[in-house]
Amino acid sequence: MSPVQSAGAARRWAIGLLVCVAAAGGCNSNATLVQPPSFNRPGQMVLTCYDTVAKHVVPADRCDGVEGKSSETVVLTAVVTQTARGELGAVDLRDDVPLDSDPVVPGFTFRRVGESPTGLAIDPAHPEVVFVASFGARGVQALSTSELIPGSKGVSLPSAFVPLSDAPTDLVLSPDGSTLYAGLADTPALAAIPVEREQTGDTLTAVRFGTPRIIPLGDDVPAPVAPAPDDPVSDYSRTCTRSPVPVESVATTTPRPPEATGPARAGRLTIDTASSPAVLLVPDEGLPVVHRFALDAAGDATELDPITVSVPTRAVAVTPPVPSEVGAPAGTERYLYAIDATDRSVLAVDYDASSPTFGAVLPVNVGDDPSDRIRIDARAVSLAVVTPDKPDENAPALHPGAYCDPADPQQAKAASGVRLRGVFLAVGLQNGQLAIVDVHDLDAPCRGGAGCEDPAVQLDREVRIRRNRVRVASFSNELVHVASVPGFRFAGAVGRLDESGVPTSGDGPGLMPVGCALADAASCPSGERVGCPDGMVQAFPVLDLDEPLAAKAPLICALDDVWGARRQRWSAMWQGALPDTQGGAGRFTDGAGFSVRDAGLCGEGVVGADDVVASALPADDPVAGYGGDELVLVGNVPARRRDARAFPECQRFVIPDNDPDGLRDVPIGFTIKAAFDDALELGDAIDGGDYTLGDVRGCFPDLVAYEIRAHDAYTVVGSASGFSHRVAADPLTGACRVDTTRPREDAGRAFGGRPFDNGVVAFTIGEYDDPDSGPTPTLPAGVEAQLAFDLTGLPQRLVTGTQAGGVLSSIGVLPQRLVYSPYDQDLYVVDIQAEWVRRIELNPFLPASTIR
Amino acid sequence: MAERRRSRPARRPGASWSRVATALGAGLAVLVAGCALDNAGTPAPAGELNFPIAIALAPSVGGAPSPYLFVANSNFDLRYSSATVQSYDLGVIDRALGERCSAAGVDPSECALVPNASDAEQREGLTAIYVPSMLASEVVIGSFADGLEIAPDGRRLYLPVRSDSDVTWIDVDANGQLACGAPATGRPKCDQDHRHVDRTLLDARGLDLPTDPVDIAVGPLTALGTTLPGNYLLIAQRNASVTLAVDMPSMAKPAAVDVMSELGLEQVTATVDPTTGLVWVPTGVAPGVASNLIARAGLAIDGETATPDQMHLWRTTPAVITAVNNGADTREVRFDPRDPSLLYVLSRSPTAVLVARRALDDGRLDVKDVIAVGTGPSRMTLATVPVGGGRPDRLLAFVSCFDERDVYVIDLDRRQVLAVVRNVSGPFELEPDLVRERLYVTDFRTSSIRVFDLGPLLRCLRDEAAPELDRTCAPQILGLIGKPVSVRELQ
Repeated sequence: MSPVQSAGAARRWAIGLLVCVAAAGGCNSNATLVQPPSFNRPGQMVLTCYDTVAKHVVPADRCDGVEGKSSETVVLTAVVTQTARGELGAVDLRDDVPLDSDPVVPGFTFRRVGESPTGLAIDPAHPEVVFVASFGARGVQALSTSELIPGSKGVSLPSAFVPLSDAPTDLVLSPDGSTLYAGLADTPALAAIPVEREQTGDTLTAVRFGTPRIIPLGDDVPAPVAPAPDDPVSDYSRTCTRSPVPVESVATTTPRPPEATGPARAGRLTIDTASSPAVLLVPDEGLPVVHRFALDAAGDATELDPITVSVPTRAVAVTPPVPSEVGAPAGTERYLYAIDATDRSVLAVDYDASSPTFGAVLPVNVGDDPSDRIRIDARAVSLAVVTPDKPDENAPALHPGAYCDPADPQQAKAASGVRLRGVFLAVGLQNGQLAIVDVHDLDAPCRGGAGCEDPAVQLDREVRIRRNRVRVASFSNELVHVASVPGFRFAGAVGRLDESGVPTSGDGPGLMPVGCALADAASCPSGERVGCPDGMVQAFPVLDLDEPLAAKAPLICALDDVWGARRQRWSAMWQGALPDTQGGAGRFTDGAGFSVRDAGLCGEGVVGADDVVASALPADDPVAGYGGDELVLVGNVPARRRDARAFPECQRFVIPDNDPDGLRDVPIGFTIKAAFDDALELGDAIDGGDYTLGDVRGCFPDLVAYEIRAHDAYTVVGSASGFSHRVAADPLTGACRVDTTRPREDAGRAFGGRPFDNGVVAFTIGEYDDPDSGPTPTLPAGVEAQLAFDLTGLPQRLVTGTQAGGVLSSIGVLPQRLVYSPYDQDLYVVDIQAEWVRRIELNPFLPASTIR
Repeated sequence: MAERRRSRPARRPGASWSRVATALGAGLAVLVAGCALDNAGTPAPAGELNFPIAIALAPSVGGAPSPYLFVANSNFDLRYSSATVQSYDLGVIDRALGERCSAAGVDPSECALVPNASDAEQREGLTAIYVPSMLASEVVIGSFADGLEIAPDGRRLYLPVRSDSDVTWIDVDANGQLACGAPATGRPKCDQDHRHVDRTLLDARGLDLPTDPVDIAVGPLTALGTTLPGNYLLIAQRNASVTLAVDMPSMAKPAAVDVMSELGLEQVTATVDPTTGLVWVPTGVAPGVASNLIARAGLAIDGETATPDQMHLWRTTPAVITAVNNGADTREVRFDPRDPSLLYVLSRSPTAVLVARRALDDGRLDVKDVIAVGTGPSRMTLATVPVGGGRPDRLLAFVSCFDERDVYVIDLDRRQVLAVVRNVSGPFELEPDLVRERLYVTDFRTSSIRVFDLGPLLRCLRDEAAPELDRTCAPQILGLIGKPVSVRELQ
């Protein structure tokens, strides 16, 4: 048999085998029913209402309160763009099925529209027509909604199309239905498109477009408004806690300097219908402003002063009026949320027109993330304000029974972090998850019990609800603390620290009480207290919440803010490598120089001794007096220098081929006198090495692998927070300098006998008790030492598909759009990647169904 | 100007299903063929496309259209005992497509140009037209080529060939003629010397050349900050290794220099970042292992003192894809030609082009944006398109989506899908030729090359096409190179 024949036979065998397997699988009575997906890159979605008796679409508010029962005669219906195929599809949200617009054709048939649909709009009061913006066709199309719904007897109108001067990127319809507004791809403007309707009696007979009008986006960037300081007491919040630490306010109120990234370009358009007149909001993906246009009754748009948010933005969402405090009877404040186009973070803006700080970006975060961003830990792609159980989403007033009554056991017991009643911000995230941000929680009065006493759910002791923070989902009765006990590895001994900070094994340094640089707390200098820094709570020894004042002296403190703190592992390694400072293309140059090709050392935090001096740090600065980092060679001597006869002087640097870990027992390296982005000026040999720069240069004549380590210091790294530093390249000289304008808490090096505080954790590693010379802040040469501990005790935040009974891994893949339905009070997630629309029930939060 | 791709394939299209069948088939083939081991088999027939896996355009000279398209056929089904590399004359093909397909009333999607008279035929659904001089040259190589890269001067082709576990190198002359040690008689065939790199230095270092090469990245040594003449070759092997080789004028043949192992499982492609000299090696999903790592290694080529024995690879941290769901199974990395700190990662989970900055924080590659594409994205090519009118050039990405049978065209600056070319059967590698306004796409499922007109896309970008409801910016099919043959297993 020839190879050709044999290969063919083999292929037939393989196919035969697979057929047998498939056939055997077919005998399985539990065979999975496969529904062929009908969506193809769904992009946008609008809602309408379909009357199953009259068989045509009706005003959307006819679907108010629908529950999806088969007995109902109106069906909430969605229209969804299919971006890859250039189609529009309708979805029956009662039965959660797409509607096949042509059942005669096998598979799902959706209505063909212009290529690459980018915008979609419908008039809720007159839903007979749907408008689609097409990037490829470069225009806007109107077509009958009845064409999308099989069996519909609604009016069938002639399709209309209006060309635009530039490709549209989004589309909204004015509340009165008279004008469409389209964002444009390359023009710093909007297109306003008049919509003319012809009617015979009540029957719509035609829709025509008027001539589009260009509305330029202004390029003025007013100075940003400084916000009032964040105030945890007077600001909207509900806090029940046994923590002895007062809730921390966010001190930073200085707005960022405005920064444009390009010419004006419209992001996703939003209409604020709670304002009167309605306001068209246009985030700008190039300029650091959100444009505003008042929409009058004639459909004209009058430009208002833009809001300077200091960064370009791609999408916004606004709240209705919300009360200023828990239990207040009426809404008095409003907020605008925006997605920062530069890093996809989410910012909150004071949007109360009567506020003196209208337009200010609010301080909303403490910890090691920016104070003017809601900490979500993922990039945002979509926003929606949801208002479940709020009768009229735009009305300021609340009816008397809107709030949860803690005196009503049934209501009190139902209140929880996953039950959403009130006003919240939903954020679709690039990692496929969904985050819920608190704005106004109608159940807040019931959380933790009346007066924070006797909660209806015993676990609900630690209650943290704050406006503009990610909602806490789980009940909690503990504070942040160290899991188990801290470990302190020293010279190969894996020790643990007891509650006095002494290692249970080994003779390495342990921990000293926080806030005091001496081992004996009783001998602290006058006025220096033993205790955690402001905003931090004792994390080890773990605080006894029933008797917090009887606690032992704190050895490790952690940020007591459930939004700013993280569950993570912290490590302080003696002379540890600075992250991302490994390179393979270093070279010894003339004199004491060392150049690197893969540049960026300042950005990674590298400093030399001279750099520290030149930075003119005050004596109490965390790195004052630091002797600079060190360069360590991690590569082997090049092969042509390993010959023992030709180069005997290099033998002491050679890593033997049979070395188990390929590392030197005693590292070769030099202290760093001065650092630049792409070069170092070296000092003495580290660890008392008896070699010179010339010795090493002669044995490493080629490119050499290296890394930078802290010298006579511990490198502190958080598994989520990373390595913090304040080093930046001097713009004039290129030298690495400590930037004293940045917060001192951006600290990444700890020293023996000196307090360490990076704003998230604080501790003091003790000095080493040298048998010969007594206590010293440094360790013997070649000794490895590492402090490590895990922080835990933080409650679960309502990020991802958290359900009452557990946590889903994610809501989807890429939640491109979020659409809140005030009709059934559900949230719909349009996922362009997963190719589905997912319905999320909000009370309680629960992914209910998936339509694809 | 089209940015020439720095790297080529790796994982074959359709691999998820066909790997099982192929493995079974290959195993059985070995067993059965064991009865006739002295049978040399049937060589790949001349002038036939057989599972084209990779293509490359000859460099454009002086703004003229690229004269030749080079095609690596893989002989993926082992139907023959060898595979081929072909050189097609694009001037001849363009004229034939213009004169004998649409202008002659033939449906372009059914109009195939073939270099063999015996393949000409007309039947329902296919018009195969014999074009005598379209195939400029052809040589026989080993089976399972998995990529094709051309030297910057256009004078040499490099192919990772898995059946040889080595790199084949072929010289190209100005007339598109291929030469790799042709025998005195019979069909031109690459000799053993051209099918293996020099391993002397590897032997001296006690290193073996890893098996299963899946991709090769080629570039001038000067791009790595040296003044050395010649090219570097960076070969990715499927199972966690990369090999550095150099091809310098002083050498008789390319020489392997160093090997680094223990990188990523199921490596797919290799792309060199010229700024940092790091090679990025995306990884697919290995059996039982889903990794969101992109393996990386450093190229230490010392321009001041270097001879090949002073060059080496150095180990660095992998890039960890974060901020997406879930970042496992990446296929290609491309660096923005205007700002190499900006990179684009072709991902299958999510199925998207991930936009990221190279700046790393603890090894994490922070994805700034996600541009959704169709299922089964396989290859991505970038092209910079001048649009005129004083407007800045546009950077476009052409992405083949093998499973969805589509090609996506993306404006990377706008993060906007401009067009989707649908129903391309088995799209894999792509080459845009902006001078000729053509897009060449290998159709692995039908063993053909599809030729598209980029005119509609370019007119949309230049605002030369009036807006209308039926306006399309999608490239339009002009015809096929090679007679399409559907392969049941890949459908």
